Amino acid sequence: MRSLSNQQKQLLFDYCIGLASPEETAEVELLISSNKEAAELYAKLKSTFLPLESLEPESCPDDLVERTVGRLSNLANSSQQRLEQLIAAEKTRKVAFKSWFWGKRMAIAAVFLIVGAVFVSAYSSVITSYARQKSWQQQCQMQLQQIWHALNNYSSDYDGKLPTLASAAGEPWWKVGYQGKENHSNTRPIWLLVKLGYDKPADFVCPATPKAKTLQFDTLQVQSYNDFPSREYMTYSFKISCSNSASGKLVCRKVLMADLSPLFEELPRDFSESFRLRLNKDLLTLNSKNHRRRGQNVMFGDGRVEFIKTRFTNLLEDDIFTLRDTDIYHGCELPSCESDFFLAP
Amino acid sequence: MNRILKKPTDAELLDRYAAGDESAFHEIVSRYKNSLYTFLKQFLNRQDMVEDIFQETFLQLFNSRESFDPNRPLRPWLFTIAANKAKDALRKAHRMSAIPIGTISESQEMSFDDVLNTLTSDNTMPYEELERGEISTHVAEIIKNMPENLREILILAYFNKFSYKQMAQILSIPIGTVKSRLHTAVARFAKDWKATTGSRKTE
Repeated sequence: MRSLSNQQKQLLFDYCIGLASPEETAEVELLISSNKEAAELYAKLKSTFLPLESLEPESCPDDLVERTVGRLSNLANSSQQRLEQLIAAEKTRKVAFKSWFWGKRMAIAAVFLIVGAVFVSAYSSVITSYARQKSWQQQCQMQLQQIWHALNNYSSDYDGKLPTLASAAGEPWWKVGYQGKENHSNTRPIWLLVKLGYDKPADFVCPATPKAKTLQFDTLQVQSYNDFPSREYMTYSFKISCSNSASGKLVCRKVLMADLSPLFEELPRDFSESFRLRLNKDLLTLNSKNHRRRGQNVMFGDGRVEFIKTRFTNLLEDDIFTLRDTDIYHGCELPSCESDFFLAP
Repeated sequence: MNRILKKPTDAELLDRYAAGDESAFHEIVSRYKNSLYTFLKQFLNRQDMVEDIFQETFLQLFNSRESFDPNRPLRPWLFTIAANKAKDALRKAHRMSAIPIGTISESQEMSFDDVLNTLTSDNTMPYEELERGEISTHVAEIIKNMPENLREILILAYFNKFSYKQMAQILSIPIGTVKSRLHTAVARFAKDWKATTGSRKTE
């Protein structure tokens, strides 16, 4: 007789422990009845499990059931309460939304504040810049007034005449800083105010110019100079008189000085070179660079100094930086008449 | 008429149970109270722990009602909860030194042939010589002192008749492991029973 396979042994085990299906039960019972080894194994397994049958199912105490059901009811109620709490929370969600809404508003407000701060900062910067420019304009006016006083004092000392130097007709007047014997610079007469002690050199440098604060003037060498040392030391343009000027007196209708002419900002550094300038549209409209092209301080013969936003005075509607009917400049032109105010270079 | 007398299924009961129906609480607890109580009593053998785990099992069932699949039978699910809670309670008690170490330690599993050889080596069981009450006390004592994993599977298989597949689900182990562990548990019981009755015979 063949010995039992593992599967048959497992079937016997399952049958004895009570895990065999009805089909397996039928198979095992057949096996037990037909196989001696199976019958022996069944007997041993049966006797092994027999003591376990002595353990009978226990009845659960009623009070434990009641306590369990009671706790379940409490849990369900608390669960219901929790549900109601959630519903209540959902109903009060408007408050949360409101909070969020206010939070959002606060965030937007913060953004506006930041942007505002940036704009204020920028605006403050603009205001500061504007105030600084205004301050320079006023300081510039004070310097021009100081120059007028110097001119007035000079005029008083020299029979009512303004400082002039002899120059032949057609000679250049653009060579600012030229220290030669020839009077080839229109700034030389003004230099006399410095040289003769009527005014200090710093008054001839507009405070709005970039180098105003850094320029140093060797006062000991003033007497050796025939003109301002260079263009940087004279940032104003002075009146060029006509060849037949009737009087050098200081009268209110005269335009004597103004911030640097936009026509002669760039001049040849080599005085041996010739100068030539053709007017164009820009040059006809530009204001002086001293005050960021926003206008220029203009000094009149009576000592008035006005900041004018155009190049035209209210007197004769004359452009103070150009000659009438002249488009090309060689740096030696003169006004044709007293009423053609021409400030140069 | 028949429809009124028809016993509600576990799924129907659980729906009502999940909805907080107190009559469903009573019905489900009553339906499984004895088998669950017996299982816990045999597995834990401590009345205080048995009652706590019994209640917590049904509370857990209620708390996890939304994750329950109505197509699955309720009984294995209930025993899964109970077994896990019972083992957690035993480990907690062990940490507090309330339970002897041997009762929760795991044992090495035996091959099926070794198990059968154990049974066949001596099958002289002095069953008839013992009173039924005395037998049950010895059996309970043997089961109580079995390693946790063997005790657990013997109770589930012999006393509760769960299939191998269900035991595998309850214990979260493969079916093969269920079988080999059950063989080992039976061999361990046979060995301990023989030792107990053998010692009694020599008295």
